[in-house]
Amino acid sequence: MNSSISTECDLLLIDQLLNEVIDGESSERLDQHLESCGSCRGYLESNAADVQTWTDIKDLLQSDAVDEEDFLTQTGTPGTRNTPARIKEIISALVPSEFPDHLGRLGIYEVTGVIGSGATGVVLKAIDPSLDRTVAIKVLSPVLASSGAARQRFERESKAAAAVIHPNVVSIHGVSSSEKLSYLVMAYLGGDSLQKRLSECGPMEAVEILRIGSQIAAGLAAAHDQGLVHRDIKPANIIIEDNVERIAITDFGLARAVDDASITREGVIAGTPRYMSPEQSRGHSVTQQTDLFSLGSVLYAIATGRPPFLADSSYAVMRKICEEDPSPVRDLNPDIPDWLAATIEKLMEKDVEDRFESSAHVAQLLESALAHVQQPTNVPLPAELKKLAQSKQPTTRNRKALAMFATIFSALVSLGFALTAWSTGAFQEGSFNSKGKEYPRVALFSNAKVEEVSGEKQLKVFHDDKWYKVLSVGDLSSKQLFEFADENIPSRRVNKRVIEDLPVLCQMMKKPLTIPTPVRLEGTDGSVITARITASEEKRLKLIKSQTREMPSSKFRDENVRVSLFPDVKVKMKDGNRELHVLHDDDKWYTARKIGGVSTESIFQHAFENLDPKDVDRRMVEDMPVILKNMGKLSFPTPVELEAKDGSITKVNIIPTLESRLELMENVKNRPLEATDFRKDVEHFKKGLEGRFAYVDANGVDLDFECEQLLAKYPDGIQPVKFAEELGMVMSKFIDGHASVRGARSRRSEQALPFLIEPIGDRFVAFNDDRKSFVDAKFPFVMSIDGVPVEKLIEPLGAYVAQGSPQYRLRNKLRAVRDFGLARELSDLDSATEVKIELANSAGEVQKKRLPVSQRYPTYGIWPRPQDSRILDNNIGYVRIFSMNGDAKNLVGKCMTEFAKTDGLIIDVRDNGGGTREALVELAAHLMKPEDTPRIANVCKYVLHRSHSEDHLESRFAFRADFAGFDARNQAAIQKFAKTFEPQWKPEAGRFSEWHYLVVSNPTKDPRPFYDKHVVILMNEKCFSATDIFLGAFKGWSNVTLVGQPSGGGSAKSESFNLPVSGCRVKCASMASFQPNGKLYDGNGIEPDVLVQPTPEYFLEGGDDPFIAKAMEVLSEKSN
Amino acid sequence: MTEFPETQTSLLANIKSLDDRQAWERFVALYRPAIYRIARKRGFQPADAEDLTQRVLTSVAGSIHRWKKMDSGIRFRHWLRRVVKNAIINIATRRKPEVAISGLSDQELLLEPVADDETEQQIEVEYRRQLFQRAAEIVKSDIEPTTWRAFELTVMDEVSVETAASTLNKSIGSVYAARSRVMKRLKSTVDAWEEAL
Repeated sequence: MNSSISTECDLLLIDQLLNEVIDGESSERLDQHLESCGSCRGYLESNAADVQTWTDIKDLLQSDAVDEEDFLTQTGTPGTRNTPARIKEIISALVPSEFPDHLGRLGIYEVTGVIGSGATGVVLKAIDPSLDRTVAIKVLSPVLASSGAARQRFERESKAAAAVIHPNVVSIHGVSSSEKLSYLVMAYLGGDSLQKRLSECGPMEAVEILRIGSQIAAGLAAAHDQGLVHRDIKPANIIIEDNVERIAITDFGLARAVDDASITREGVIAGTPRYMSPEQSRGHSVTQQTDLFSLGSVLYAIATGRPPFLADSSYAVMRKICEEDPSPVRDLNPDIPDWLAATIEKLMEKDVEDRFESSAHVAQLLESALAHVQQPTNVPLPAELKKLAQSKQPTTRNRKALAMFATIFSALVSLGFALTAWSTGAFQEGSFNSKGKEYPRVALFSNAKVEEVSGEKQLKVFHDDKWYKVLSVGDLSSKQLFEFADENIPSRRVNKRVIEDLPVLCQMMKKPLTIPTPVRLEGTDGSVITARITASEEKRLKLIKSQTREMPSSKFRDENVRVSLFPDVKVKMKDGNRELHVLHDDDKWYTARKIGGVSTESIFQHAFENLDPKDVDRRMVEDMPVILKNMGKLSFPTPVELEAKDGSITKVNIIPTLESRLELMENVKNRPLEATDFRKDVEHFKKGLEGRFAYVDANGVDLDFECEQLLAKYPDGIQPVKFAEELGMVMSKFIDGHASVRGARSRRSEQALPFLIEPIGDRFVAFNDDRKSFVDAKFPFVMSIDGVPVEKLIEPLGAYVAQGSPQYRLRNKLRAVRDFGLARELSDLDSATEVKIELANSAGEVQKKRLPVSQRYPTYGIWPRPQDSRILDNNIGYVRIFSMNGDAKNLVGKCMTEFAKTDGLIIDVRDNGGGTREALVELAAHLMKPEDTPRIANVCKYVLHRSHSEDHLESRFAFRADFAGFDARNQAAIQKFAKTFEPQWKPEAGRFSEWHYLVVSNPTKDPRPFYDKHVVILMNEKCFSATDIFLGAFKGWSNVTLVGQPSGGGSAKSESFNLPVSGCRVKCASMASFQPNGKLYDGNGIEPDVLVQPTPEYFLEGGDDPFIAKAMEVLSEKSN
Repeated sequence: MTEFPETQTSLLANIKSLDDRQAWERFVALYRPAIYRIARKRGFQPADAEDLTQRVLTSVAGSIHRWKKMDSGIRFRHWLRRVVKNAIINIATRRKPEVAISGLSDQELLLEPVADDETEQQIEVEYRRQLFQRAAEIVKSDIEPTTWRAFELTVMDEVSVETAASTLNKSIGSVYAARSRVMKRLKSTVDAWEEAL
């Protein structure tokens, strides 16, 4: 053999070798060369397979890993199924046993089964006949044993491990070797591994974490004392003994013996690295501190329910261990005390010096902490931990921001790529230069839209091949989300933000989303499901690839996070070409020319080549990083070239962070309006109302004067929040019960009134919101709060409450006073932590009381509670309608048939806040004979405005007299009605449409059975909007009696317009609406025929219902 | 383990295309052990894990008509992978075996589940494991025993190359070459299958 040839590198030969086309001579030459040339070995291996495959191959080819998981927890018997060769090999090396059930004998031990097997050998279950105890025997793999050095080391290490006698370390009884086998005998423990416990029970509580942690640390301390390092602390190596609150570390000293034997093998790293330390991952020398890091990782896992570092491959996990901080413990489990989280984080410091100094110290700290948690009043928390929690705070906060970002953007997106890039990128920068700020968006759903249904915004999402309405996301209801978004985001961007930016919104609302995110969805059939949404960037990329020509996008069911690079983006056509228009942080639109160094045209081209063409525009808008990644062009920060309208080019770097997003949102919200902008918006407000507000001159409010006054009050401009509040106060001077201005208070104060209040006459009942008791059982009435009479306390809140009937305003003020912080502020009261109240009973006796101010807002809910419609004892039908939705119509139809034979009917619409008019039309049909003259149920006009079409009131079933759908009888009825109709206020002819009429009858086409008994409708002041119409329609009918309290009063067909600078959103009535008797609903409400005063008990669960009692009375009178 | 029931033939009678049939068979061969292992890793007893495996595969087989009904935009093998994935996640995320095995209707079992990245990853790993193990059987029977042994010793048993070389009485360089050759073959075999599946 020629040594000069052997030293020559010839990569071609390596290729030939791998492609199996090498000849014998070359092969020998190459073999020899490989022996000495590390770089050729590297070339060889990397061309044989990628690093990941090399890393994973052992695990992939091992068929017995399942049993290994159950290590020491279960007796497996080696059946014929897949018995690995190495187990067979070991069993065949046993001496035959005298007992037929046994597998054989090893030394003095009778082997009864196989517990598991792994890289280092096989674990057998055996009986020690001399002591009649069960033991576990770990047999060194024969291959390893054949290496004399490994065998010696195994024995030496095992002996050292045997010297560790500690309750928290599995005792090693001895080390022996037979002719063929080296083995270690240790205690056999029943019980589960911590791994098993963790996967069954999920995250643990602090007390359990401390109990386990202190014991592991104590066990480690004993071993470290002997100079031993475990090197493989992980949940699978921790045994929780049956019925004893004791844990024990197993496998001590073994990892090292084995690793050393295979240490020379390059390129492949053995074992599960999830709990490895950074120094281990890097292959650096390992000290006792390594065990502390792993202990931290184990505690992290049991505190959060997941290992600290997760990735697709061992390799990626190790990179994360070296490079990244795991998500803060408390982001994943907020129940963990901060000092415990800080302790875990300190254990997991990347630098050895930053960890605790010794395991003995950790054991002692955790023990004291455990004692503290168990007896918080008697035992103080160790000062060191207290200090640790405090000192961690600033960095923790930084990290939290990062981690929050990471939680949202990476855990959701599982951004192997972006996490590192974004986090390091963002934080190396230190501070952001404002030019470089752009913001990513994350959508939770693959497809979503916002629809407006009867004035209420709904988020519709595509999930599982169907569209659903979103009821809630995390802890937040869809309504809360929209309310918040309306208040905090310029209105033209609200829908977009809700669709694309939910996680950020939730964060702004201080309700960060967990991952996966629980989302309640309502199907079109009314069924409600809870979906848990997670997403991974990996999956996205895969789908982008796999989707090509194979999966039509309609079948695309992934719910993945999408991230857009800009605050707002749209695709525009220009000269037949697509352009990407983006909104930059100076709030101007630009045309993006290059992103990530690639021209926008080529990005479009790539997208068209790889995506369903239908999807391209959407993806370009929402999913730019994934597209760039797919092109291999993604980097952070991402360079972008923007062309302004004047053709100038701006180059920016985009670094998306959550923090910068929040900052922007805050800025937009709080940027004060300068005097000129203020004037502009006020002008717009005035014009808007003059243009479309129906009640603008219904009650003599001088809008010009109001506006001038407002401008004069703030000569230097105004904060948007204040502005919205002021506008709200102007709006509440009009009669519109629906009026509102969004943008006012972004959130309620932290102080909530700890009880609910309802009016009875001029008195107020105070009760707890579980409706189980009054604030004081003997004194149901509340006279004053913080020394101020209730009616006085709520008075200033009137500025925040829309107009409407007096009773409606009262109830809304009582709702508003729940924001007790605001109520106190308006009445100049101190914000004490207690609220002083004065209570009274009906005899006039008074009782004083102090209650802690609550942080939780008490809720009213619908009262009386929704209940089943049914026939009551005395054959009276009871129909409960708490919302005027489509269901209400069906319910009426159904009940009118089923209750046909009853002696009377109660229709209970108390607390019904409105909806549509369908139920009214349906009920009216049943309460009229087919031959009866049709009746007019509502009379209205709309404001003539360019945005209002001819059929503006169609959804209200209101039509002009000449409407083609009205037959001769209807028209006759309208003509007759019009002669006597006298409206309370005459809408100006040129400004409004003709009169519109809602006409009800028992239709001849589809006649309904006539209900010939008397009907009582139960009502109260919470009846509003469509329910007002409902009540007004039946007012005065001889076969119907309205019983209860006056209704709320509001009929508006509201619409909103936005003020251009501040973004305030003004909601106002577009329709003037009248009761058949000529009265307006707004400002009046409907008076009942029979008034019922509630009793205090009425507001409590199980209390008497005087409304029902009165209804019964009326019905029995009428039947006589 | 109980073999997958021969009901296959009757259930699959309506799969006319030979390609699809082969896809199904390959599929069952690869996924059956994968499902079993996932179940075992979730703490299911062996008997439960076997029941469960069978349950998943029968329910998937029983729903093949649904794939046929859908437009053929989704290829059979893609569809199969997805429904099996759904079934595994639906089952694996339920802790109690008895609930998982009998408490769900076929319909529920195949519904798009709550996303579960960890389980999905596990499915991928187990699926890959099956591919590699099958590839190993083939490569092993196809290559010189000492070449395989070199791979096995150094990669599987983590013996140092030097030790392996002296055990096998070969040069160190040839052990390096051998194990890379085996690796290359394994990888190509698996890649080819993945392409074909």
